[in-house]
Amino acid sequence: MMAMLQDLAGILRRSGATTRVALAVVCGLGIVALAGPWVVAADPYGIDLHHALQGPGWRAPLGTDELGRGILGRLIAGLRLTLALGLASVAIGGSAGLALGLAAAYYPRADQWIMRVLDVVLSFPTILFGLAIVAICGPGAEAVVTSLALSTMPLTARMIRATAGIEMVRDYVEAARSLGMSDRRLMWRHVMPNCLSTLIVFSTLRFGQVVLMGSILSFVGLGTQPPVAELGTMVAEGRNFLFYAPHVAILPALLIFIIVLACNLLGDSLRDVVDRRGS
Amino acid sequence: MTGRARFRNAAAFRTSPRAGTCMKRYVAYRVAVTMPVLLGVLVVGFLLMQVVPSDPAAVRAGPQASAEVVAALREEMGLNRALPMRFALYLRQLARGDLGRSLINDAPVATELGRAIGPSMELMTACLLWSVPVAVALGTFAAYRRNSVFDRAIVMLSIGAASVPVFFVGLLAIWIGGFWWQLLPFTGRGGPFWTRAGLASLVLPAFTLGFVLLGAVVRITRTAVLDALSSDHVRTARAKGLSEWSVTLRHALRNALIPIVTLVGLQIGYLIGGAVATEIIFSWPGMGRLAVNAITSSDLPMAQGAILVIAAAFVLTNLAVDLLQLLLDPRIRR
Repeated sequence: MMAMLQDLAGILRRSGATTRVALAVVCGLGIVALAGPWVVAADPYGIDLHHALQGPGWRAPLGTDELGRGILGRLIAGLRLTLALGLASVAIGGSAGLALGLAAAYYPRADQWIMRVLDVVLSFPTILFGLAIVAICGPGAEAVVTSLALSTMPLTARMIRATAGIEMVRDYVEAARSLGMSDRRLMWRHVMPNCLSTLIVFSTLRFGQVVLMGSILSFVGLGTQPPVAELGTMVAEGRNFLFYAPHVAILPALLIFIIVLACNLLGDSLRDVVDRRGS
Repeated sequence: MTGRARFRNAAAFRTSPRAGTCMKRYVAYRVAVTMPVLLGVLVVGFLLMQVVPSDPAAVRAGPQASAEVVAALREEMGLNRALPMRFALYLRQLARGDLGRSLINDAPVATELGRAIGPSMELMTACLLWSVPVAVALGTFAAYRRNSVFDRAIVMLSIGAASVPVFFVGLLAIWIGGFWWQLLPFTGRGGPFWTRAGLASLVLPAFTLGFVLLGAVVRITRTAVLDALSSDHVRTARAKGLSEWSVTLRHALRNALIPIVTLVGLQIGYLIGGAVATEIIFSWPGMGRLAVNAITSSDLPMAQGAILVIAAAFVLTNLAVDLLQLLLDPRIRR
């Protein structure tokens, strides 16, 4: 873990302006999402039909949507929800992938089965999971998180299996085993902590992808439903007023673009850490 | 033979000296591996109908139907039999090309799907036709002028293209190309692509969808061409006194094609996701829009049919890409 932090600090020192800007953007968006309502006291759900579809002005800094709700307030609420959905998907898919990857690395007999089944899961695109899950359970945030977690899981498991495989042949594992440590304890206390840095870097890399795919699922109507303020859903709603009030759809779309771009730029620099450790 | 050993053998086929017979075996193996996956798709498609809480017979009969009518309909639809029996019935129906009827308008699902598959393929093909050549050209140029301003600009463009949500491009395209300049139609399909109206209506959707692939293909092309440029045969070509441009195009790019095809194959999943969004933005009468509309209106037979077709198309495309890769690799073609 310490080595990992040192790597990260080294990358930041050597990184160019782009990486730093990307990091600043990600941190800034995270702070805005966390602070949420305390930054701008705007109600994302307050309807005011007298001031619908207005451009930016004094009353609403970024204009209002078709029901007169302030776009700035909705963007902040949407950012919160979108980032939370992304985090939940990465966390659930990542933990499941961690468990399966460790099991595959640790038990050679289970390895074949786990990896072949994951290959099949991996061979289907996220949108198909989304369509199938929504067909069964109906649209909603849960469906989006489930399908994103499902498509994150096999990728993480592969990554962890490779990392844990390297750790398994190290001396300390041999030493712990010869001291009579139980399998579960050895895996939990020694191998798993050494895979965590890979997991964290990989999850960061994955986060941008997850937000992008999640926004597409929400946009086509498989995710949260109006009036919930979620960025993809907001674009879908605003699309109907594109010609009278383009900002209603364009602003949330632009915000998604900025989130994903910043994550991808940051991920590019972080990837060096994983690659160096993998080789 | 364990699965791992088989996979290792599959890899060994590629470099084996007896490549001719091995290639046939690899093709047979690859096709055989696809079968269980397709069967899995069928099982999932079937189970999709079973786990849904609503009773298909009750939905079909309508809200005013009496209990006897629903019971009779359940019997007629075979809903009272055991699960494996119903799966067998389902397979028999599928073999006949009968996917059931829509709960919304009672139209046969197979007919509706057949009507949607053409436009979807048209859209994807048009997207591939512009985005892959443009991306390969940009990536090759970036590698040729590595570390120049062009290179950096192209790399930035590719990261941007990989990060932009497809609906953002779509909305901008509609706003600028359709509304502002009033150049092109942006709702629905004007007809088949060989008609003037059809071609015009295809431009904006295909342009939009292309952005899903653009970023990744530019990057892999640049990396693959750079890799190839540092290999021995390229050094030989340079030593022969060929121009750098000719070396890049005829010797480096040709070798780079294999990873590019692999990547395009891997991206097809994203492409389908992008196509669903694109079809909805442009009201394109394709498979993705059909699937989403069916799902959001709880039209299960239609949704199931659409999901089945998309999944099967995806599995078969992956198979085709794998086989195409074999053809491109001259070490195996012999």
